[in-house]
Amino acid sequence: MNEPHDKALEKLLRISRSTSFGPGFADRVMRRVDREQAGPFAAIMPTEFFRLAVVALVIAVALITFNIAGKAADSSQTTLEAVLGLQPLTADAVYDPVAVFSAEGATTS
Amino acid sequence: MTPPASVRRTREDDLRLVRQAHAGDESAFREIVETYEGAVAATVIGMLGPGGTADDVGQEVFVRLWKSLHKFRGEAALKTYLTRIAINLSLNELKRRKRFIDRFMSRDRDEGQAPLIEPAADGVAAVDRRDTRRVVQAAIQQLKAEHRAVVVLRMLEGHDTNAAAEILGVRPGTVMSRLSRAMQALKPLLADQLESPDE
Repeated sequence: MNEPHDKALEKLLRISRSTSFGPGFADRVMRRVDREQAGPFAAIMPTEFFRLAVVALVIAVALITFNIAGKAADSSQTTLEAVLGLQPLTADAVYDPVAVFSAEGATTS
Repeated sequence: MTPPASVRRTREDDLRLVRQAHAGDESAFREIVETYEGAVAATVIGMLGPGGTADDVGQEVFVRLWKSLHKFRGEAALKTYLTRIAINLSLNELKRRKRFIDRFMSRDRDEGQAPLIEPAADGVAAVDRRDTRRVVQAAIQQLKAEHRAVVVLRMLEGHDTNAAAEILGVRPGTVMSRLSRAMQALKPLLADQLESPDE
């Protein structure tokens, strides 16, 4: 390591040394620390969002599949109603408290 | 604001800041971040190259410190403590990258004959030769991870052989042999810069 070439290489490496992550690094660290203090959920959300989004998508697809499977038994539903899991509803039924609360009425009466 | 180089921090100064930060003083923790950003940046960017990933790992280094403030007793200098975290997180990131590359990009690579210099996506020749720093960083990125770590600690960070060995958890002789091999590998990669160092 004493050859002139080695000294030049050492110098070259020293001058290539980065001394900063760029402006605002301390602010970014403090925000991360604040998120950690806010709780585990807030801390993982920015980094784990993609994984959580995939899980949510899988659950959504499963629910849509379940709803569409239910449509086969009840063919009066449109596809959109089936996908969203909407129950058939008419204006008369909305303004008919007996129909709306029929299940509750059945349990209380 | 990073303090001027003339301001020498003692271990007692660091311990006082750590205790204040542990007691909830955010300004004390910010002072630690600003003081040691340079050392952590030199380590992480030296290991991973510049970019968003290095920034994320750099942030994670300080978050790990924040989480372990209660454990810090001052046996080691705070800079050494942070450098150890930075090296470990950088090595983890390099392993993650290697797993990704092995899985998706080079299934037929012979694991038993890993070269000293790993092929880079864009070689040193492709980098603008006028930008010495970029050329040197690109050359360092082509070293194997364990050789890169030694170059970063010894040449960029200025740790002595024993300190580098302690940080890496290897024997001093291992540090010396890895450094020698790494420097030999760097010479041909940086031949142009070595022949015209003023450029």
